[in-house]
Amino acid sequence: MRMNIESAPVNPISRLDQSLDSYVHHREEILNRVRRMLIACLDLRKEPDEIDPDTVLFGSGLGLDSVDNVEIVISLEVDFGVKFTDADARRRALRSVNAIVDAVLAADKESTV
Amino acid sequence: MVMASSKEVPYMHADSTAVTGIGVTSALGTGCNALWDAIQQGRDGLRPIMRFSTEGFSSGLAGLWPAWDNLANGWDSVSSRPTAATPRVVEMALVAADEAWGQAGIEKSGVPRQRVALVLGTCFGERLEGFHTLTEAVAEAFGADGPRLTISTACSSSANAIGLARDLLRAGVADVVMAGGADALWPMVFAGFHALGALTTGKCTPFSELPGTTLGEGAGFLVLERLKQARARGAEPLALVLGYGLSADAYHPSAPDPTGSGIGRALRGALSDAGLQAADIDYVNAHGTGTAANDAAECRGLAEVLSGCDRRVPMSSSKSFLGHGQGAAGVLELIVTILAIRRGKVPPTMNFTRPRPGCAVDAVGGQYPRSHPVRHALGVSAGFGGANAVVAVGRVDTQLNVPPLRHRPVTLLGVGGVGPGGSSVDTLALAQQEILPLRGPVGTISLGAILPTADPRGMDPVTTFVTAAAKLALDDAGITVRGTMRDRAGIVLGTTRLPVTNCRRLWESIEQRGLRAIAAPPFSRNTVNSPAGACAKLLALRGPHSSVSTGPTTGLAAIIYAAEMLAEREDSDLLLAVAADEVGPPGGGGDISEGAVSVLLARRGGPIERETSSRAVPSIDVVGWGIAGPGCIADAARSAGALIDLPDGVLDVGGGGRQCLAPKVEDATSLPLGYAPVEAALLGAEATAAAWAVALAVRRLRRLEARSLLVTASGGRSAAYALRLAARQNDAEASHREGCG
Repeated sequence: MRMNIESAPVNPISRLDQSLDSYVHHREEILNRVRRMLIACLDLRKEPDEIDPDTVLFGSGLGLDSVDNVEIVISLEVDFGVKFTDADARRRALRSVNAIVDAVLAADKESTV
Repeated sequence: MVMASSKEVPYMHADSTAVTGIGVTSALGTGCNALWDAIQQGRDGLRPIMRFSTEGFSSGLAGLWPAWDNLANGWDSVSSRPTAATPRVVEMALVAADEAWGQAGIEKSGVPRQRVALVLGTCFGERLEGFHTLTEAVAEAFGADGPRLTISTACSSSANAIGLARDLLRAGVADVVMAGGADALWPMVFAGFHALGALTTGKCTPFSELPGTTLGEGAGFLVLERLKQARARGAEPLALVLGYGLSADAYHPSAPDPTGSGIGRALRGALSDAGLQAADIDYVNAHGTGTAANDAAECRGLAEVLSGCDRRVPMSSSKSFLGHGQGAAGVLELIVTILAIRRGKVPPTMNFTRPRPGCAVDAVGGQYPRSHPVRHALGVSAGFGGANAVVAVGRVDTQLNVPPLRHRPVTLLGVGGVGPGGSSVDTLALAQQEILPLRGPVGTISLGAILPTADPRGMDPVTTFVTAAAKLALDDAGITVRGTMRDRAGIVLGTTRLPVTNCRRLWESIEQRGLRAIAAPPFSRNTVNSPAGACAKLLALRGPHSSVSTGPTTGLAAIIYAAEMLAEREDSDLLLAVAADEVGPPGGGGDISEGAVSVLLARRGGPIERETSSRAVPSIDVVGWGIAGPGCIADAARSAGALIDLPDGVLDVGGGGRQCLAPKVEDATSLPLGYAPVEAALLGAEATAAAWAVALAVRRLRRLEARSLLVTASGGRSAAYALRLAARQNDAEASHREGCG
């Protein structure tokens, strides 16, 4: 478990001032909030833990479309305070459920610095 | 009036449909003269919105009716819901209707009031809820006491309404039909288009840069009558309505099918209905919203159908003058088209610079109309839910080579329904016999069990009911819609309101997050026809697509419109008529009972019926139907042929059916199977009650309890309907013998 995370790509969150355990815990918490947000705002007929964190949002994943895209962007802003400054950042963040979690964590960090 | 028989009969009323009056209110003011003068002078009507704040939106422009410029801010400051100060759409509609009515001179014509019908198309009705009441208010102001029908297929509503009006005239249901539509621009609609990213920052530039639309509002009406009658009474025919076509994209709630094949099917339907070839078309008034998705799809659809002609045929978008008039767009643009035909000039697409990629058409660039004689023209409309409608109009001297119309017999192959407590047609029948009221919510439906391919994501309750009922009707008939059948299979929905749960979610998003953060997914499904659009996608029903709303008679209205289309049109083999109600969340303004009932209709002896020929149940034929003005249920029953061939019993909604066979039968209770008021068992099922009555009639006929039955629906101020069903004699005898043996 520990080894796995250690070898994962560098995360946006600084690990110097947070223990790994609390980071994992925090990330799990955000993941679950993101899952619940997706279920509510897109009317998904799924339980939160049925949504794999690596699920792709568009195409063959959750099968979302451009209308849902708009709704996720607004919900991220309203529920998490995530604001996208450019279209590229938005596209990157909406690639998968995990990418959304990364964006939320990054925004979190920015606002607490 | 309409009278179907078991044999094909040549049509009684084969005559052209003439336009004898036109009236309009739009961004270019009040009246046709104001409209054409502005077009002639190269002056558009797109101006800054003063009616509500547009701060924070991607656009601040719209095509608004100038007469409402001084309106007080008529919207709730938190929710943007309409308040008492909100303008009433009926005002705008009455001004337009008055001009058309006066020009046609109907007052002096001597046409009886009961023979004057009104068909109105609207996307959002009177303040987002009154759909059939808007139509009734306009009809009452003019004493139009014939049928008052409301079509709500989003932005193609009024184009569909004009097509239906032509059908009513051709079928002899009325002698004069006022047809058109009306919609105002509400803050919610503006915010929804903003959320979808569909608004451009400046004035829209269809087929050119930059993509995006500008919204608008308005009302328009055409007075239609048979050409022969117009000439006989000395009225000046202004143009002809030659035909129309409807189709479904079966693709997405708000985005058009990018291949343009949905538009293509409606175009082909209109051409064949009008007896025109692609080469006959001299001008196309395009839907041309200006959005990247619409313009490219529309150009593809037109290119495919007009095959090579599309570069030659001028094709302009009047939205560059008027903005997108939503449900009224179809009629506003047909009025521009008729004025263009009469003046020998086609209007430009304003602000056109250079063609957008994928839009290599002659969009009539420049600021002024171009001299170009037009004999035949097409008006294209496309709406949310994938509802497409195309209307063909032409010069009065158009000589067409239309084959004589045939009234082909229609058969009923299947029924399916989900009702209160998950009830089916059988449980309802028991309840009806015992007079046990069924009311309330449907409960949980596992759509996956009925239709394994369904993705329930984003499906609101009423959409689930509609899809379940439609699939159950297909299963009942043993039919799977597949292959080329899909392009010739369609749906007609009957319902009285916007999808309740979805609508509630939309308002909640505004209340909680503000108008600027309105939720896009529920907005894209916030149209009356949206359940039909979703059902069409899931069941691949790509043919004729419509959605009617006539109050407590709505269920029968949908079934009769479907029967009428099968009897008289060439573009479909199979139509599902579905009626639906939804309770929705508390306080959501929904119905007090809910569910959906679907009836599967096809042509007798046609390709669909042949697929089901080995079935054990007796075949049920739709042997007659009638539509009449509100309260005139006896006229509807007579038109259905019920007085010539008395039914064994009457199933009724609204109470009017009891005396509808007078003077032949004073009280229907004296018929062998008597009189059954269906709503006693179905309290509060507004749209579905009359469709349940049809389902019950089918059940009794299949069980050989009766030879023929009449279903009637009246009540409300829209219209009265009668539908006559009969078990096919040979089948009934055969299965009776089998049963005895």
